[in-house]
Amino acid sequence: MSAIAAPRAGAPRSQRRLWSSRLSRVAPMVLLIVLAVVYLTPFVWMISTSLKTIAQSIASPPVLIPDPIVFKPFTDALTKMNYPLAFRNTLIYAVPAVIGTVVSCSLVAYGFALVQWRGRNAMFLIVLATMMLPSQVTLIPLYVIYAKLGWINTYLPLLVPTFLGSPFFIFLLRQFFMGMPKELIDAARLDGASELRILATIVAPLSAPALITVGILTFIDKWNDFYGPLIYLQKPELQPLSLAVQVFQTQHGTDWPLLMAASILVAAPLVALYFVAQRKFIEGITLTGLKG
Amino acid sequence: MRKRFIGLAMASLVLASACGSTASPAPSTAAATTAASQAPAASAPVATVTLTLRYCWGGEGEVKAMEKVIQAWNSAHPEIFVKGISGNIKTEEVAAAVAGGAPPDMVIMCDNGAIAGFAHDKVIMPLDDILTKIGADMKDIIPASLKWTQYQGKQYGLPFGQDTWGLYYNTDMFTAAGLDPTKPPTTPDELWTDAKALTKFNADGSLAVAGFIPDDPDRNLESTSNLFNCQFYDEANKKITVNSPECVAWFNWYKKWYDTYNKGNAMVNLISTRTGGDAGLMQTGQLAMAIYGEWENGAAYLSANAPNLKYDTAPIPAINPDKYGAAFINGNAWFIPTGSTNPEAAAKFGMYLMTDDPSRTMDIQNASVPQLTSLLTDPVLTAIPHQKTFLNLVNHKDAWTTPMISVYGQLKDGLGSALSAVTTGGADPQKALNDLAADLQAKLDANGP
Amino acid sequence: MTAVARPPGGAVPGPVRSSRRGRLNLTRVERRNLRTGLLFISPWLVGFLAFNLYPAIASLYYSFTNFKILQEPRWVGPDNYTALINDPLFWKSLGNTLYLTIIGVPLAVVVALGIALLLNRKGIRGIGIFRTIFYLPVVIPGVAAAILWIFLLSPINGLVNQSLRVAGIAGPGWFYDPAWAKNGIILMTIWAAGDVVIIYLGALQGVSRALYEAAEVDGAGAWVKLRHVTIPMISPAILFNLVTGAIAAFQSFTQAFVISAGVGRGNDGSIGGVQNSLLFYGLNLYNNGFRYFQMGYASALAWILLIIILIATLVLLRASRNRVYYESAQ
Repeated sequence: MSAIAAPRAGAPRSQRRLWSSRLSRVAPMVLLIVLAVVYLTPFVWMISTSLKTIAQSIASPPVLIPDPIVFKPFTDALTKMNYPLAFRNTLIYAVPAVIGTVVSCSLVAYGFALVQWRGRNAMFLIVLATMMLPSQVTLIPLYVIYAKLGWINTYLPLLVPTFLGSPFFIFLLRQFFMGMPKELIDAARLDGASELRILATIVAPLSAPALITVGILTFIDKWNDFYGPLIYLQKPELQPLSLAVQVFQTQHGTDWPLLMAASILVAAPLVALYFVAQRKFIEGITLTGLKG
Repeated sequence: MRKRFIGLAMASLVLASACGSTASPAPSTAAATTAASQAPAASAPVATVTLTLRYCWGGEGEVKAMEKVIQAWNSAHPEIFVKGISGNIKTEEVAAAVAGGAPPDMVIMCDNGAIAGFAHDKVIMPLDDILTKIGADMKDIIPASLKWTQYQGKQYGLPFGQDTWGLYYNTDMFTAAGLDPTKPPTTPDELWTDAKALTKFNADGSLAVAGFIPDDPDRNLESTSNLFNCQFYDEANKKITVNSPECVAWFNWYKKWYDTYNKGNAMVNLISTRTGGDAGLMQTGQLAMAIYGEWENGAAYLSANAPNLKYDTAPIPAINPDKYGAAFINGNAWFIPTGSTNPEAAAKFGMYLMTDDPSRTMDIQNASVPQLTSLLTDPVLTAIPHQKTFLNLVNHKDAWTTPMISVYGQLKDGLGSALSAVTTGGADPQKALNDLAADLQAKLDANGP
Repeated sequence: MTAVARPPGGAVPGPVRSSRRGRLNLTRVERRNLRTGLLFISPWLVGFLAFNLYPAIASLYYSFTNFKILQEPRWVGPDNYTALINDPLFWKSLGNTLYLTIIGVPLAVVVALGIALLLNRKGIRGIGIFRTIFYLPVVIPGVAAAILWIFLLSPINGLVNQSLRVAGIAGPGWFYDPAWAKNGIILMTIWAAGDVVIIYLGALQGVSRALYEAAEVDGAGAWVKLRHVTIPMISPAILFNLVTGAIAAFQSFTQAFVISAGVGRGNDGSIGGVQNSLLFYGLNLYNNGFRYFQMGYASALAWILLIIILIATLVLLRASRNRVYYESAQ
C-alpha cells in the first residue's frame, strides 16, 4: 500500500485524484477522532472521580489520575442504593412506556401525516402547543387530577400518558411519515387496503429507523426521569434508579465519588442498550420498495 | 373550588368520589388523642392510627438516624404508628400534595424559606390550638427558636435541629501572621486588620491565601446583617427597611472587600477553585477566616476533609459590643399540612421530637445545634470540639431569625442579586437597595404580610 | 391518475359528483377522511382532553387571579400581565432565553448534523463505538452532567481553561463571568445533543441510495451531493430539530438551576447565576411559582411564553414551507 504522500507538482492527474480521495477519507476520520476525544472528556473526569477516595475528590488543584484507585465507591453504591429493587422499579414503567409511545405515536402521526382531513393542520398546531406550556404551571392542576383518580403513589401518572401519544414523538414520526413515497401508499389504497393496514404493513416497516429511535429515546427519557417520580412516587419501595442516587447527598454535603459511581451505574445499562440498538438500526436495515 | 372546570374533564374525572377528600381533620379513633400527657399510655392499646411522615433527609446516614428515632416512637407508642418517607423535599411537592387533598400527615422540611409562604397560603396548619389541646410542654424550647416557625404571631411549626453561623479561623495561620489565636476579631474593623495580615498574594496578583471572603459559600446575608444593625423588616409598621442607612453601610462593607481584594478577579477566581463543599477553601489552606454554618464543625465535614487543619470558632464580629455573641438562627422544622388525616396525633409525635433523645440523635447526625435548652448543656454535645461556640450563639438573648413575611423568597433572592450587582457589577449600593425596597414594599402591600 | 370510486384516505383530484355537502359543508369523501383522521389521532385527543386541557385552561384562569393554592383565587384581571411588563427580571430572563435560543439552537443543529454525517458512514471500523460516544452525554443524569461541567469550565482549574492556557489563550470566567455564563450553557447543550444526532441518523438512513447514484452519474462531488440530495431529503428532520430545539431552549431551566446552586452562589443567594446571567425564563417562572408563591403571576408568565413560542414556531414553519421537502405531500 503506497504511503499517502503529496504528489509532486506536475504529477499525473490520476495520482492527484488518488491522493485527494485518500484525504477525503482520512480527514473525516481525524475529525471524528478529535471530536470523540472532546466529547469523552467529561466522562474521563466522571470515571476518574468515581475511583477516588473522598480526600482526592476534593483536592484543589484537582487530580486527574486517582492515586490510589479505589473501587469502593462502586461496591458501596450498589449496596447502598438498593440497586436491584430500583432497577426493577425503573423497568416497570420504562418498558411499557416504550410500547405505549411507539404504538400510540405511530397511530397519531399517521393521522397527521398521511390522511387528508379538514382542520388537520390546526389540530397539529394544538399538538405542538401542548409542548409550549411550561410544566411548572400545569403541575398542580395535573396533580389534582391524578389525586382525584387515586393514581398518586402508583406508576400510572408515568405510564398512562405514554399510551395517549407524546407530542414530541408525534411530531417526529409525522415528519418521517411525510417522507414516505406517495406512490406506494396510493397504490395500496387503490388496492382497497385500509389505512390501518397501510400503516402496519407499509409505513411502519419503512420507518423502522424512526420507530427504533422513538423507542430508544423514550426508554432513556423514562430511565432518567427524575421529576415525575419525585412528585408522584412517594413510597420508598416504588422508587426508581433516578431517585436512588439521592442517597449520597446529605443536607450539607455530597459524597462525590459515590455520586459519580452511582451515576455511572445508572447510566451503564442505557449505554449497553444504545450500543446494541444503534448497530441494528443503522446498519442492518434493508429497504424494500422504491428505495435503494 | 375548581368545580367550574369539571365539565371539561372526562367522565372518569368526575369529582364525586373526591368530594370528601378535601380533609377536615378526621376525628381519630378511640382515646388516643384525649390523653393529655405524653407518657406512654398505661391503658390498653387502642386502634392504631397511622401517620405518614415525610422528612427531608435522603442521605444514608441521615435516613438511618431518623428511622431510629421513628422506631423508638413506634415501639413506645403502638397506638400511633409513624411511617417515614425519606428524600429531598421541594416546595412544589408539598404544594401539589396539599392541593391534591391527600398530603402527608406531617412534614419535616430542611428549607425554612417556605414556611412564611406556606402559612400565608394556609398550606400548613396553625398549631397553637392543637398544641394546647394535647397539653404540649414548650418550656424547654429556646424562645428564639420558636420565632422562625411563627407567622403573624401564631406557631405554624416547631424547630427540629437548627443552624447558626459563626466565624471559623485557621489558628496556625494566625500564629504565623503574628496574631494571637485566642483573640479572634470581634469587630468589623478588627476583622479587616487581621485579614490584611493574613492575606497572601502571588506574584501575578492572584490570591494564594485570602484573609477573609465575606460572601462565600453563601452570601451570609442574614447571618451578618443584624451585626451591622441592619434590619430588613419593621414589623410594627409593616415596612421593608433594606435601604436604611445601616443596611447601605453594610452593603458598602461587602463592597470594600471586593474593591480591595478582587482586583483582576483575584477573589472570584479563588472562589471558583473551591471544591469539597462549603468550607473547601479553608480545607485546602487558601482561606484564613470565614463564616460557615455550625455543621462544618461536625465529624463528617471539616475534620474529615482536612484532618490536619487547626482551627477555632468564634461569634461573627459585630459593630456594637453588646450584639457580639448574638447570631442568626434557622434550621429544620416540622409542620402539619392542611389536609393531614390526624393533626393531633401528628402534633404528639412532633412533641416527642422535641425531647432529648430524638433531638440529640439528629443533632449529632446532622451536626446541627439543638432547639432545646436542656441540650445546650448536654455532655455529648458539649464534648464536641468547638461546639460550645455554637451552643452559646443559639442561646443568646439577642439571637435573631428570618423575617417571616410572605415576600421572604423575593427578599432573599433580591438581596442576593443586589449584592452580586454591587460587588462584581459596579452597582451603587444605595440605589440598588432603594430599588429593592420599593419593589418589595409594593409586593408586600399587594400580597399582605 | 384516473378517477377511482371512493378511495379511502388520500385526496383524489377530479370532479366530485353527487356530493351532498352536509352541515359542515363537507363532501362525503371529506367526511370519511375526517372520521379516519380523527380516529387515528384519538389516542392523543383523549389524552389531551383528559390531561392537557384542564390544566391549560386552569393555568390561563389563574393568570388572571392571585392564585393561592388552597383558597378561592381572587380575580385581579390583567394585573399580573401589567406587573410582568414592569418587572426587570422578566425582561432579563427573556433576554437570556432569547440568547440561548437564537445562538444555541442553530449551533447545536448544525454541529449535530455534522456529527451525524460523520457517523453515517459504513466501513469504518469501530463506528459503533463512535456512535455510542456521541450519544453518551444524553444518558448521564442531568445533575451529574451539570456538576461535571461546573468543573470543566472552572476558570482556573477547569480542563477547558487549562487547555486554552497551553495554547496561550486566557480563558474566560465562564459561569463566574456574567458575559460568558450563557456560552457555557450553550457548550453543554451542544455536547448533549446526542438525541438530535440520533434523529439525523435515522433520517439519513431513509435517503434512497438511488438518488446518490443518480447524482454521481451526473458528476456531482461530495459537497454537491450534500447540498442537493442529502439536505433536502432530510429537511423534515432538520425542521423538526429546529422547532423542538427552540421549544426546549425557551423552557430551559434544569441546567441553570443546578449550575447556579452548584457554583455556590445560589444556595443562599439568588438562583440565577452571577448578576442573573443564568436567569432563564423557565427559572424565573419556577422562582415565582414555587419560591415566591405567586402562582397567578407565574401562570401569566407561562402564557406569555406560550405565545412567544407559538409565534416563533409559526414563523419557523412558514419559513420552511418552500424549503422542506415532504415526499408524500401533494
